[in-house]
Amino acid sequence: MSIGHLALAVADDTLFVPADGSLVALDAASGEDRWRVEASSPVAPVVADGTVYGQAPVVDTDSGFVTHFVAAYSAADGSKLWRHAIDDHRPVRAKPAVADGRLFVGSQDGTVYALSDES
Amino acid sequence: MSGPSRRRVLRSLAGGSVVGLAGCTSGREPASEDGGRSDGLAETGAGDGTATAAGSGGSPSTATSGGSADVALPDVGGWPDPGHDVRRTSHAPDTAGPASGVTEQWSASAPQLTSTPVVADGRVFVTGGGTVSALSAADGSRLWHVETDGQFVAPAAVAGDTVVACSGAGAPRARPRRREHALEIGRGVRPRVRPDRRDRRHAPRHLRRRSRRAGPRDRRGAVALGRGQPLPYQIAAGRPGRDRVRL
Repeated sequence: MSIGHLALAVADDTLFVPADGSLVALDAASGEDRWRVEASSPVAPVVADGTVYGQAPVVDTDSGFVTHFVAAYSAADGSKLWRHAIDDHRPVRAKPAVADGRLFVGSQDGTVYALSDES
Repeated sequence: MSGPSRRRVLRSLAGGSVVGLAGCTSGREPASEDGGRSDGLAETGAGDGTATAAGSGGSPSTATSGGSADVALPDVGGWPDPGHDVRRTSHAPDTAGPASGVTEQWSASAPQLTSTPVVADGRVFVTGGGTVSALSAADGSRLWHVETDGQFVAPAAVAGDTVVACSGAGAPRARPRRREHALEIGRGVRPRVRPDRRDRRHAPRHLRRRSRRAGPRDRRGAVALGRGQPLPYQIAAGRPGRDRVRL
């Protein structure tokens, strides 16, 4: 397992770690996996109010083209809550930031996006 | 990694010791005592930024920043450090993000963006390409931006009313000459409040010399500089010596 710089998140008694091809939730006491979701490359998760946010690149198996999504997962069981492809489909450059119902992400082309609830 | 050692590491991480500490080597330029521009910063003014806002109807519109330091901004909570807090947990226990579905509220250009945004007091601070920019968290309009004399700027961090970024004159991995830039979050200028002697005396030894230069400390907090990026250093109000948070 390789862990990137500043790439993990800690919430309560759970660590959220980007591993090779997966986002893994580990029990901080025992080190055991709580859940694991597939991601084609490591994500840099952040956690707020029971939700884990991160980048979720998806590779088209036929063309090899990579689409970069920002995604949200349940911190409890890893179920995917939503995912959103930013306009230019470029990778998120670094960790997002969460504040007051919004998610702020920066893409590789030098654009900052503010994402909020649909409602 | 073996089982026991792995558990030990995980407990340590959960305990919040995920903090990289080292000095962000400061430059040797004399600090400006009067808030002048001897700090290598060039104010580029406010109000020249634009942002594309997507409202609930989905039709984008272009908004131009008002650019006033007095503009009323909603309090959007905070993500004051790239890792959210001094322990770099990347966990915001007292706020929430989009949960059920998501829509793009606005987007804004931040040339050569290289780092995680930080959020405080209704503003989003981004760095990149030697520039520190403050955007309105409400609509993405650029409130101010400051160009440093560096070729890059590490992620910013906010403590109290000050945002601090660290810039370098060379490649980030080539031992560049680094400088710390402490800016008021409202206007992007150097703070008028300088650390008082008592705060400085109670500061850890490795911060004393730097605090004189960066000057971001007030009763609510200070900023320590880590290797390549700043770390907020918080002090309980009124009791800087005994209640300081160990980094």
